[in-house]
Amino acid sequence: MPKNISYTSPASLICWLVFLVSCTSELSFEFNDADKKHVISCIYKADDKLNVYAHYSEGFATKDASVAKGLKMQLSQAESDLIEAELYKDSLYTFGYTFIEDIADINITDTVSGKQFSGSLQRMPYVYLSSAVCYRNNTIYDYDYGSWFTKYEIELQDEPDTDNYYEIVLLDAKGYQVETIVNSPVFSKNSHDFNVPILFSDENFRNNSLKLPIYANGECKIACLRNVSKSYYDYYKSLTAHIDSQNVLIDDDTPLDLFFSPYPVELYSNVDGALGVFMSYSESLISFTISR
Amino acid sequence: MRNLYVLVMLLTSSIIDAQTRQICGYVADKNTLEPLIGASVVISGAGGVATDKNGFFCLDIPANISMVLSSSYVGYKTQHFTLKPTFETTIQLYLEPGLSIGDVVVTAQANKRADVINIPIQRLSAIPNITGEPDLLKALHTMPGIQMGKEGTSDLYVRGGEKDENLYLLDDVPLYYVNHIGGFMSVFDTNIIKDVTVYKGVIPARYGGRLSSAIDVRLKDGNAGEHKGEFMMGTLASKFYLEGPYKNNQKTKYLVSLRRCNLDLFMRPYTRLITNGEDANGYTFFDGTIKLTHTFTPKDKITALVYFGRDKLFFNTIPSDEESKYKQKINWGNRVFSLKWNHLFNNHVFNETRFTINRFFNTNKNSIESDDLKDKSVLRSSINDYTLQNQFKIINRNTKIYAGGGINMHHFKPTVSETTTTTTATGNYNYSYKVHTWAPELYVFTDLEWDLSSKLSVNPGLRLVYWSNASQWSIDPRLALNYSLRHNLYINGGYSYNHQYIHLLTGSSSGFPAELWIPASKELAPKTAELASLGLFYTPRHYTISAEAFIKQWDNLVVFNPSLFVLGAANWDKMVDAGGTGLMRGIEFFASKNTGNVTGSLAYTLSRNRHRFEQINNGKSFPFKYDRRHELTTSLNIKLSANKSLSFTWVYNTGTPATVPHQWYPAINNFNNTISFNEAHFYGSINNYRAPAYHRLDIGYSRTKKVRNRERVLFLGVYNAYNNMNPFYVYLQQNEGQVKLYKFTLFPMIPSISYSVKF
Repeated sequence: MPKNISYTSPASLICWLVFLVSCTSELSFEFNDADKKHVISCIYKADDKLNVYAHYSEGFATKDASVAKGLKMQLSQAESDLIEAELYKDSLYTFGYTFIEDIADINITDTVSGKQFSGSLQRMPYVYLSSAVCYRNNTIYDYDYGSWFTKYEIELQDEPDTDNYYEIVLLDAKGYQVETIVNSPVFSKNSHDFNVPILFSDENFRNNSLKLPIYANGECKIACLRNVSKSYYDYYKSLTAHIDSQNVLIDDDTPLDLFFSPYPVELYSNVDGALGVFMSYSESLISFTISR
Repeated sequence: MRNLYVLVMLLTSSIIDAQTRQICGYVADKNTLEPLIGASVVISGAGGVATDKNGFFCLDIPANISMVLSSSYVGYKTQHFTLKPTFETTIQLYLEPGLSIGDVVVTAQANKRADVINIPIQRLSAIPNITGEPDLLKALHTMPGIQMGKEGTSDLYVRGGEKDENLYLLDDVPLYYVNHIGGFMSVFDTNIIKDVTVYKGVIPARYGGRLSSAIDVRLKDGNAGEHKGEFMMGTLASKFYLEGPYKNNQKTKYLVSLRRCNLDLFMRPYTRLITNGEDANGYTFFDGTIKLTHTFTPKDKITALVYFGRDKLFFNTIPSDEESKYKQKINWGNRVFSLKWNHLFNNHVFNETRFTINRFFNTNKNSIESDDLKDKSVLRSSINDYTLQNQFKIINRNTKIYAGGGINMHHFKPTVSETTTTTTATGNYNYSYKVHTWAPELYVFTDLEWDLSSKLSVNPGLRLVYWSNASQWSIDPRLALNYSLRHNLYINGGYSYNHQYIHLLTGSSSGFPAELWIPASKELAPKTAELASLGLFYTPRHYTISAEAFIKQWDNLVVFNPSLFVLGAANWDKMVDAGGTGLMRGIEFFASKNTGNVTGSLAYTLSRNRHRFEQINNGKSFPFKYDRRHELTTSLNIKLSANKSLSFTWVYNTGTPATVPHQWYPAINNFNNTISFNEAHFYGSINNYRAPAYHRLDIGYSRTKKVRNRERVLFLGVYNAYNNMNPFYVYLQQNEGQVKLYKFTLFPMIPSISYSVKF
């Protein structure tokens, strides 16, 4: 693996030069941690268990996570009775296997403070890949990663007449997710990096089919297509942006300059009254065929 | 066009007047014959004017009587000339250098406006600098309304504008990159600069394309009298320049200037030493200017200019086991070529035609070599401009008209990527990717400087631009008014509306060029700024006092969003958060004592600058990254003797804002169909923290000694003399289980020394 040198700016050279005479000192600063917020999140996979996770936000100076207990959760659907969730362990409230027909609303009450929160979930229909092909002899060397990536190609027919959002995940023989690189016009606002999801909207191939080359670091056996909700798409987009723009590297030796960091991106939330997200997806799998 | 012609004819029709006569001429240095820009030419009782960028002036005087004409310029002895009552129309005035640097300060005097700054170049060497080098752009930081960015860097933020909103002109050629060593030095070599004018308010229409300022840097033409040179060893760089007549022919002059940064000479061995020979890293820069001026006839002059500047950062790694070698070389800089023809039709009509090529480039080369792998990759980005422009200047008794137009072919290459990989197992693999676009820009402009009466002058201007990449026309109007309340007291007003069709993206992600220029397009609108200002300008004897209030509003602002960055993507207009707005209100105050053994200045700005983007801070406005409520700069220059001077500069700024997370929370994630949580930060709002105030005192001492024909200048400086620990940056770090906020001070007290020999 090559030595990874991250170029920031030539100014860093001056920093080296005068490092011996420069110094650091603590600034007096009070983190505003009095107003703790509820964080309520749910990723609902179609026809799977419906679990909701609840936490409190914490002051930045302390790193101990705390979970939100004492919440009462109720799910309602059109023409359905209310279903209540149970606290399963720590922060996990579960409705168990709950069939959602189309859209379900979740209302949450903090029984201690009386605060009310709400959100909604959508059952995403299944979409299937038309084909998934592995090109074993077609490889590229990724300079940043320092490794060879093999070419795969999937084909997808867009669901007509609706705005759709998709995620592709490549799995190895053990079912583990493989790191990938994609560079395609469909990723109008996505990174090609190997450590972010292959998540895209259909805005550039609406009602048409898409052939998407993907380079993977390892042998993939299964291609997984997820039909994801808009909230899923917006959340993961903002999660990538939020992590990229975090102006704090607590555990790194190289501190980040708060003066000149890019503007931080707040994480997407669609829960009324709380931080967190309600999102959903459906998943279909297909095995790769080997190209001769 | 026809109406314009009629207007010109009307304005020039009053040239001949029975009661007055007009006298025109040039003011130049007596020894070098270098035209002097902004020199004062005064006739007692008949008023005065300042010379233009060619050292030219025109003045109306009463006919048929003898008069005494006085000409003066900072750093020169005032000269008096008797004008005979004959119909003399053209004269040459030669001024003799005479005063030392302690006698001059940065002023805004020549234009009688608070928003126009003229800098006598002699002033620059009296300001202490971290690098020990005089620096033009850092001298501008001492003026109200012109902010510094990061401490020690040359970036200018004029009245709240971003750094890409400044038009830097090197002899009329725009420069896209004006820094060396990441901004710690500017590309402008003060040895070869003749004059600098900064427009920070209403920018004349002939300087188009930027929103916040025009910095017009004029280079010397070269010494027509004799060959002169200078060699200087500074803390960071060495420089050499030579000027003189070609083959002792005063019609042809040359000027050559070369600079080289010395850092690599000791960085390379130092890094080898500390890594046991595994690494050899370093940085250097090199720049040069060659200027040739040939005067064919008294009415025709051709000037050729070549400028080249390159910064180089390099990393070489050869591990002790020599299994693989790694090399990285990053180059960036400007290359400029300009050919200019000045023609004087008569004493009233000037023409200037010029063709320029300027290129800003950034190249990142990497290579890895091992027994079974050879990999080379190059990532380039550049912008190339090819400009042809013609400009007329028409001078009448009470009017000056600038009119012209041109075409600028911008060629943007945000990404050119080439990779070659060879392995013993798979053979050769080549990959190349190129993103580029042409963006032709057509423009016409006119500026009118019209003295409506002895008290009132108006300067309307108009610039019409067609930007093909967005298929968009724009009209940028401006108007500046100047009313003389009494002899030396003026009231100024101004309004302008400007478009800027290029955006600068800056980033620090791995592989991202330090600066990337991208064009406005149909999807990415040009940014605009609207400015209104009102000020007072007062020039009692020996002093200059000015105050100006302004309001400035931006639309279609753009910030780079690193999370949207796609290497090699053609749609760079989607890597930004666009559509931002900005609003700045401010009051600037400036006072200076300009003559005598003790001179000095005081500049203060009170301002508030906020930005708003739909995508940032939940759509709420937030302070701009350089929003500083108070900015104060005072300077004092004391002339100790004829060849010794002492200077003090004290700077105080409100602290820089920053965004600090106040809380964190678990952000849900689903990897390998397993729920996990990332750490998410809750900021509350952007720029929610203010760093401690910034202040420092700089002291400079200079001594000049003449031995035979050589002048030796010793400069001693102390930067941050009382060692205030100003935050260069602030950061969060965990210490003993607690996250705390820290500041990092990069520039405590730093002494500097430079020694130069002029021959």
